[in-house]
Amino acid sequence: MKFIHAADIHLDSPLTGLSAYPDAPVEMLRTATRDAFTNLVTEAIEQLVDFMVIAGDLYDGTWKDHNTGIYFCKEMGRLKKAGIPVYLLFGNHDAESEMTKKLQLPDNVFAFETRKPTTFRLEHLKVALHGRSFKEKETIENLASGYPAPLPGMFNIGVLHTALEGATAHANYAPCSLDELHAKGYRYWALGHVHEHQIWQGASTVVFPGNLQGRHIRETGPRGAVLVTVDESGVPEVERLFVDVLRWYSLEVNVAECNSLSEVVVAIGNELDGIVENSPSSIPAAIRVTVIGKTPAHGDLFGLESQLRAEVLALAAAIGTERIWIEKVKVNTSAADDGERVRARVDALSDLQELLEAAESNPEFLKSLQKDLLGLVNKAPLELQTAVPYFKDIRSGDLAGLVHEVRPGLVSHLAKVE
Amino acid sequence: MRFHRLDLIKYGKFSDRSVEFPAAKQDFHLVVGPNEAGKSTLRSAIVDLLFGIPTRSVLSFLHPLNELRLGAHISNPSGALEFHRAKAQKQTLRSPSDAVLPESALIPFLGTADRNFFDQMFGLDHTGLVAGGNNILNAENDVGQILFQSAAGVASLGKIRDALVAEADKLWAPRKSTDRAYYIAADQLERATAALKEATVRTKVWVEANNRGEALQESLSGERDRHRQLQSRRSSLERIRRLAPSLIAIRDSEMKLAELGEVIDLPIDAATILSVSERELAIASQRLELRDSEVEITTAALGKIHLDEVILGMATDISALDKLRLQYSAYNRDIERRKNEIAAHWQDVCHACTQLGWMPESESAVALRIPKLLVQRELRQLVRDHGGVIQALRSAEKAESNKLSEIDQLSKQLAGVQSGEIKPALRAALANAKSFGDSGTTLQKQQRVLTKAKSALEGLLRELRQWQKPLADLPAMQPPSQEKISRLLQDRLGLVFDRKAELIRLENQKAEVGRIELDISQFKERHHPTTYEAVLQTRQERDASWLAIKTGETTLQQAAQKFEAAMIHADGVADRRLDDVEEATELQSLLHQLERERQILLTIKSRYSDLENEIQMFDDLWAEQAASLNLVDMPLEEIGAWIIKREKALAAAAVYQDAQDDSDSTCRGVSEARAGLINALRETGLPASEADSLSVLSVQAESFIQGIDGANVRRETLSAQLLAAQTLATTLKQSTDDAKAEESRWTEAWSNALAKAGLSADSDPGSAEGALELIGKIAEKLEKMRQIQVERIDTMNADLKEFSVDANRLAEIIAPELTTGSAGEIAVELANRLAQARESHAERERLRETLRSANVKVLEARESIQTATANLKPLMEKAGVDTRALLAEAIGRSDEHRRLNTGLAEAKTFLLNGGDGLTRLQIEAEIDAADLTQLVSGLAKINDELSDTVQRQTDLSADLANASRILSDIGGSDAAAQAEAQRQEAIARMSDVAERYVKVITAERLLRWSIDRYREEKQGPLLERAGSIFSTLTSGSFRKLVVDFEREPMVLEGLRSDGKPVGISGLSDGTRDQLYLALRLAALEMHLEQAMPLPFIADDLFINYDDVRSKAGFEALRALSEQTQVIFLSHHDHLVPTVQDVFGKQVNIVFL
Repeated sequence: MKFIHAADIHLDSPLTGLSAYPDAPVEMLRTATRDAFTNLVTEAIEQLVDFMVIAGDLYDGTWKDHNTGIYFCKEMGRLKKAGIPVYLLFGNHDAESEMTKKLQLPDNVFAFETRKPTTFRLEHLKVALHGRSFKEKETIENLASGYPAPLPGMFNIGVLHTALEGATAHANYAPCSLDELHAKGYRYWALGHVHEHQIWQGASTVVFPGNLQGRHIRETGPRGAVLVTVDESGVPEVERLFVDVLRWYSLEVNVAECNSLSEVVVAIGNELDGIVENSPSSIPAAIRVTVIGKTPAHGDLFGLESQLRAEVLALAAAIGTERIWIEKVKVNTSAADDGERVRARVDALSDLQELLEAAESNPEFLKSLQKDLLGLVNKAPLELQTAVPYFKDIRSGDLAGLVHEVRPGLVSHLAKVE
Repeated sequence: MRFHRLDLIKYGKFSDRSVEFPAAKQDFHLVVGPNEAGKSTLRSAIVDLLFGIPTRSVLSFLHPLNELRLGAHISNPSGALEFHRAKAQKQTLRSPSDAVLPESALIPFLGTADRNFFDQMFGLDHTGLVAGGNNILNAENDVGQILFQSAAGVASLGKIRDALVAEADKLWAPRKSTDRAYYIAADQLERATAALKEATVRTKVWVEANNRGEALQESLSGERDRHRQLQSRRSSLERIRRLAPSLIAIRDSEMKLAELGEVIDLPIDAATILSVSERELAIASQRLELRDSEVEITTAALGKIHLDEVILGMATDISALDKLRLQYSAYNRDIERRKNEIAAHWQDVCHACTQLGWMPESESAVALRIPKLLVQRELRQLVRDHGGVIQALRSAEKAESNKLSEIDQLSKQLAGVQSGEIKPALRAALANAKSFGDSGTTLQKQQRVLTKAKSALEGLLRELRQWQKPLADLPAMQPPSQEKISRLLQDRLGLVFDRKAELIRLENQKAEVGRIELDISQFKERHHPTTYEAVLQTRQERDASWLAIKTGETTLQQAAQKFEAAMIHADGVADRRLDDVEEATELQSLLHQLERERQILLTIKSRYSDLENEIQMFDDLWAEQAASLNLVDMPLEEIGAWIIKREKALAAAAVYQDAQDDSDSTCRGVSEARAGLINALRETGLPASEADSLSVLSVQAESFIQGIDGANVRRETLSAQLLAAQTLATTLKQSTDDAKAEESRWTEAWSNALAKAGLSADSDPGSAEGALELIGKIAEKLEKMRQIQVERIDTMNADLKEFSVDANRLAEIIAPELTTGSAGEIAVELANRLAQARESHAERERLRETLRSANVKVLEARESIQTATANLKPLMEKAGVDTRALLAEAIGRSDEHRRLNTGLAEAKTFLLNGGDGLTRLQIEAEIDAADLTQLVSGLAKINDELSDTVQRQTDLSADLANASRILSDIGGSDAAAQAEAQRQEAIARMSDVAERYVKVITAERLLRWSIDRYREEKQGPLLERAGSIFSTLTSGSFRKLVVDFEREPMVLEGLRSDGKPVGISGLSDGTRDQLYLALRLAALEMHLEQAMPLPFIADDLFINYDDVRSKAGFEALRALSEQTQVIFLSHHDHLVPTVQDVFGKQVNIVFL
């Protein structure tokens, strides 16, 4: 007997942080979460699984387009043709969505009720599935505690959307502890909500399959569901199924040894080659390049940040625009010597460096800078207020950090040019 | 740190050259060397020595790159160091004994200074000075920038700030622009948001669409039910209408059948049979009557016919006889004609006989005289052979005599041929001479080539024009490469272009200044504005007047009126100015504008003149280079062409040399060959003149050898020919004898043959041939006469006789009275009688046939009457009647009964078929229950209702289809997802742009703020010191430097000795350079107060200065040279006296 356990599909939620540039593989990836889900369904049909479990968060809660639901039904239709039933549990996002209530699911899709735990018995497989959907988003009661006792002689699967203990990165919905799950007497816990893949072996096998498709730079690496194969003795074997169509990578390149922009570009190129070599050619990579290190090229990088981005894009283009999408090129370098060399010159530039340092604590300057920057901040749309980290500091007038960040680059830049 | 000595061990053009820098109070050193003397090399040597030799160096042209090496002795108050700098990847710092020194060994002397810093702070050349001066001008509105740039020795502060401003402006500005990255992304966001809104389908919308679809489906089902009910009712009414007439017909038929009672059922065709039989009986009776009378008439006619059977029996013979009559009718005429032909032939024979001399008695006699065929043939053969025999004899005799005369001729020729011998030496000398061919032409040709090469060379040398050189010097020259020339040309062209562009700007700017001046003058004319200066002036006049009163210069009484007038005037002017404040402001604005434009004009002028200078310098530099190549006044544009011409000239020289060598070698060979040939000729004994050319001698020798060789060949040929002729002559004699024998044999045969043929013995072959021809003709004619008699005349007479016999035979059998007539008449009469007998016979046969046919038809008519009667018999029996009238009546009743039954059955079938499955009883009940009068109106009403329901169904179906389409449009499209993705892409782009904008604008504001602060902090001490140096440099023309804080933005000004301030744009180019130098030196002095001193390298700083200014410059450097070492590099030795003047005679001067 084998089944697929997926969760946190977030159908039609967009990839964020990717700005389009000429030749970026935009068209290919605008429907990434759908394409990943289609891959999953195809995989289920090809693997001839006995059933599929979706442990919550099928859609994004705020997503309003009913087409997404219709698309989901169509994919379920494909599984129906292949004779594969689906056991669907609604999580916090689904509870929020109007679609959940109104969508007319095909008859091979069985949804867990919200009022009380539901048990589905698959007599021919000797499988029992227990689960309870979220009635509302803010479900903070312990749902697992109300699940029924395991059915004797059956392979008992608990389906649960939960933050589990300690998963602080995600909202603390339907909390419960790992011990509690082990103690329940089920053989397998099909969990959802936490986007990173996790597995605990014990009395039960407890699994977060992770989300189906990484959607931003905080969801790096391969993504997908799990394929669970249960042998005759009832021991589940869990194998990851990667169905994602774009993979995120955060690439830190230490350029401490680089003296110029061109050397930095070469260093980045080498690292990019490494990613390309070690990732499947069929899946494009969205890469954030962060340049770090105390480097003599700091001044160059400050003045030529746009050129650096252009050159990295050119590298990506050379590797193949269908292979790589540069999400961002971040310069997080610092001056090689913290300004010591400039200070030692005892000339006009070292005087200037001192003055620049003073600017950080000059309230008059900071005030006038805030005024200048507020022009942009006040005009920017709401989405940008959270997307640009500087905006919060600008609004609160806490600009010392920004000045501190910009200053060394400026000094290095001045020292570098003639 | 200072240098005591600099060692140029292997570096540039130098090998083991040391330059000493002895210490002195004023640590100043002048290094003088003409261009290319290595002055610039010295400057780069100092930097390379201190900070390492770069990976690639242009100074490796003499010594290999990896062997470059420098050395020095340096010191500072805390110590001294002797060291070398090698060119290597690492460990480049060495001791003089080549031991590796740590890189840190120089730190005590250099501190943290790096190459860049040292070059910026402690190096200055003329270009840097000019650039610094220009940068001051460019930054004239920013005192901070001027001070910073001058002090730090960097020129690009303004550029960096401008670049930051430009970048920020491209990213974001409050004003929306399609060029700004932020707004481009914002537009994308807006479009994507709109697309998202457009594509998003809310669940509510879907639910509504779904509900509406279901409601419509329900309505449509209801309407369809109603439609079915109406259709059922309509079919019932239509059935009634359809079946009611059939039911009435059934009931009527059933009633009539009952009335008809019992009926004998006769066959359906009974009536037909009866009528057919009656018609047949009538026809047959009529026909019988007609045929009986026909038999009677025919029998009578037959009895009248008589027939001659005898003549009919002989019909074949009579016909044959008549045929023969016709065939032989022409025979008598033909026989007569043939006899005439025989007579004609006989006449011909008689004529021939006469020619032959024969007497033509009769045919047979003539026939006997014709000779036999064999004799004729023999005679003909001999005639043919006669010519051949005679011809053979003549030919043999002629061939024999010809050969004998040929033998005689050959013997004579052989006796006449001479003989001789040739020496091998002569042949060898001739062969050698010939190897030169036509030596004269060859020499001439070579001479022509030589002349041509020479003139080409001279032409090319002439093309080198005034830069022509002796040929020997040309290859030794080392002119610059074409690449270098093209680079120089490009550089110059670039400068010229720049100058042209600047000139255009200059013209434009002048026009702009002129325009504004015109505006101002027009404005003044138009408004007569009162300027502040005018107010000041009137007030000064007023105050002067008052002062005069106050000081008692004049009495109050005297000056009061003037003062009052001045006061009123001053107040009036002031009031007018206040009244005309708008005009005054506008004028002021125009004046400011004028001032700005004039300043720009000055800048452009300065740039233009700089470019002029640069081009001049460029040209001078080139002139120097050209002179060093001994190509004085060679224009740069022409050097490329000149080098090509030089190369061509060198190539032509090589060609000329080759031609010269060829010519000499040929001359030598010819003269040797000539001497050899003269010797050989003389040894052979031939006369040979020394004056003759090689060609003449060759011809002489060659003709001698050819003569001797030719005679030998001829004698051998003639001997062979004579021998052959003698052999042939014997054979020819034998042939003549044979021909003679043949002729006698023929003559004998000829006499015999003539005798046999009966021709005269003296007949020659010609007359014998004619006799033979006549004999042939006689034989032919005789044969023809015989043929006509036998084959034609005799045959026809036989036929005519046989015909006459036949005719008489037939006449005796048939009509003996005819035997008296001729055979022809008998034949004609018999033929006529046969024709009559045949006609009578034919008529009798026709009548017999007619009679037979009539008898057959009589029989047929009788049979028909019997058949018809028999046909009616079964019907009559079935109907139980015996007459045809009674039968007809019975048949009528039977047919009526059958018709009624058939109609009834049809009506019943129609009723059941059209009854939609109902039984007759149900149908009768339905029809009987219906009110047939209301049927039509009921149907019309139902049809109306049906149309109504159909329309309603159509409407509902359309609505349903529409609703279904709306629903199916929500078919899982990913348009909304795509739009959202695009929105996120736009947000990401905006976010990137915003982040960069924040950083760039922060950097720009930081820079601006700190430069302002720098100015605030530094302007006091720096300007004070720089002002003092500036005063020195300008020989006191300027007193000091000040900042005009009143102006906005504040500006730097030089204060002239008379206290007049001059802005930067008001300074001449040279003075501005001096200002820059003053600021740089002041900053350097201030730096040295805090930092470790390093040598200051000044590279031809005063290149454009006159002696006075140069001296002032050295004065300024004197102060610096007391703080640190100053090494002044120059290629002007005229500076030496000035330096010695400033620094004293003992100053260190190094000549490279």
